[in-house]
Amino acid sequence: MNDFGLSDDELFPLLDEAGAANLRRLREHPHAPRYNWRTGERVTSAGLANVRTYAERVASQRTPWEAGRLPPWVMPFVATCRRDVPFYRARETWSDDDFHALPLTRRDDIRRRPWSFVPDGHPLDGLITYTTSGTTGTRLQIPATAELPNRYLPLLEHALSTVGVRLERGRRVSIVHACAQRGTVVLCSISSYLGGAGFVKVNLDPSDWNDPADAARFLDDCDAQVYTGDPFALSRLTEIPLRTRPAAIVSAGTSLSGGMRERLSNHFNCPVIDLYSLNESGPVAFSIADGNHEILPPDVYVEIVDEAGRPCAPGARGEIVLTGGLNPCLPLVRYATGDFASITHNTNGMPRLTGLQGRGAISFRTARGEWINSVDVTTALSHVPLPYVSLHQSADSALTLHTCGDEDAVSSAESALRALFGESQSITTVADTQPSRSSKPIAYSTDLAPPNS
Amino acid sequence: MSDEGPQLEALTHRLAECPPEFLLAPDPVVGGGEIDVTAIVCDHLRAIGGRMPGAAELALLGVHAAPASANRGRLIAVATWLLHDEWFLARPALAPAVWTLLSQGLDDLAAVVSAQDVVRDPDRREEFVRVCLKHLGLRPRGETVVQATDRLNTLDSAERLKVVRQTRDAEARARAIREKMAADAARAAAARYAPE
Repeated sequence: MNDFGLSDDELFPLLDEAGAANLRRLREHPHAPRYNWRTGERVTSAGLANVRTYAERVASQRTPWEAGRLPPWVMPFVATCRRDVPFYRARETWSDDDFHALPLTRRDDIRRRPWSFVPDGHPLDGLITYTTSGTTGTRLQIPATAELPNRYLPLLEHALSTVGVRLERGRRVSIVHACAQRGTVVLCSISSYLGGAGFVKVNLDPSDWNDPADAARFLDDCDAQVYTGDPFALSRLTEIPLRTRPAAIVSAGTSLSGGMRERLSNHFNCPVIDLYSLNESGPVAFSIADGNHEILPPDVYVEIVDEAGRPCAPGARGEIVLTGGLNPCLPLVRYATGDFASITHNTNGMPRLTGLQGRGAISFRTARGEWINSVDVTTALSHVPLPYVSLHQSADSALTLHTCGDEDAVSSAESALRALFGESQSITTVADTQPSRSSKPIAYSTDLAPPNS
Repeated sequence: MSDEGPQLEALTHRLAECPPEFLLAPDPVVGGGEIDVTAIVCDHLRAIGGRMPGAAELALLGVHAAPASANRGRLIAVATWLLHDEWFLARPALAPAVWTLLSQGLDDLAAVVSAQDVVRDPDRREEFVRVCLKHLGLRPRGETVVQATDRLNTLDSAERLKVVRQTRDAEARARAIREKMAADAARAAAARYAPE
């Protein structure tokens, strides 16, 4: 158990009777997973007030913008970033009045100097750090505030409201975040914003349970209103013999195919929302049907740019670029996501991303015939000092590793992959002299049909 | 810097010929001073035809025990010598700006440049002349505003120190954020409700 030495009073400053009961039940449940992360929401009353204020904004200020016109808050936001944020202040190219002349911010900018995005004067007490799971590429350290996860909830609520689901306050367990990978954070918590409702993050990998049958027992007893997870984990969830059914599924992290959406919806007999969300920005858009993702937050401006960083014509496909974001410790000015889509503006309603693509949703097959999540590859390679990796599995299961780095690092990467995939795994390494210019390398790809596709 | 002043070279030459008495220990330094900065300034203001400051204002010229304060006193004396050039004495309209320069305008420079260097070192001489002219709203004769600004920026020790301090502050802040991000408490945050 990772115990960071914080008391329950520090972890749950707003814990009330309902929350305490939910927390105790989750912690002491006889079939609970092997929790390995003792933590809490750490939200103060001021933080909770901020979240509620944000919920009001989500409810009332999701204001559409017309093609080619900036929302009125954008340029003042940019000016504030230039003045207060060390990263933007240090940029040599800048414009105070031409938004499209501003340089793009890249994932690598955050990777190299995450601390330079924290605005001057932002209090450092209570600063927290998220390390990205690395589903799609290299890991990032993200500075954030403790209230940030709770700020996601109003956005989730809005997306759920479009399929007629309302998160119940005080419910024993509101949300279960399901993972399926080797080694991840497993924890339970509660949300003051949801009236003390429980939240659990579980790993469906049998090694994280005392008894393989415990997963079904525990999850049935939780009877969560909503399951979240990436498509791979949600697919694994369908293999758990659950008696209970959620009110909705939220798929996120990697692309959700139409077939997988249908399979999940049929299996759980509930609507499936595909959430486009980035660690760097928080939730960006959601889809309740194939093809179109509606922009979700009121404070993120989305544009589509071509390879040179110029704005695309309406309807043209290009890279998704974000300005704004939920995280006050990581304000984004023209952040190039590495994901691609076109944007459609409506006469009423928020703009929509069409043909969203780019996140590497991948299952790999090991030499032992097991299917593993691409995040396991990221984990296996996380200690190897390579600036970039791209791994492809061909139809004959052979792996091709594209990377650039010194010989020792490449050798370590190959060893790590053999440990993960098996000693007999065929691996060909290609040393790239010029890494991809993309901000988010398309790290993983495969010619193999994934399980349950 | 909107108006033209005298030739730069004439002023740097005058500065190089500053009598050594202006570099003596200013009074009242603890242990006894050798020159009275307040008297030197008042004589100069009288010569240029300016209003005589009151006692409270004259206290701004006060010299204290710290070495930096003594250096500031010397710099005020040297500036008075520089501005006693006939070009300035013929322009009483400059008197208020001269008083502001002498009483407050040399504080930052005094923290980083010694009065001796202002007299002996060619670069510091030029810097000092340009700083004084800037405070009087003047630029060297024959220079554009842009040229005068660029040259002063190149030489400006106080501005450079400010940049160094800002850089040092920024580095300290970045270090504090890095340490916070690495601390256990920062890692003990609740997980987000969905993957990303």
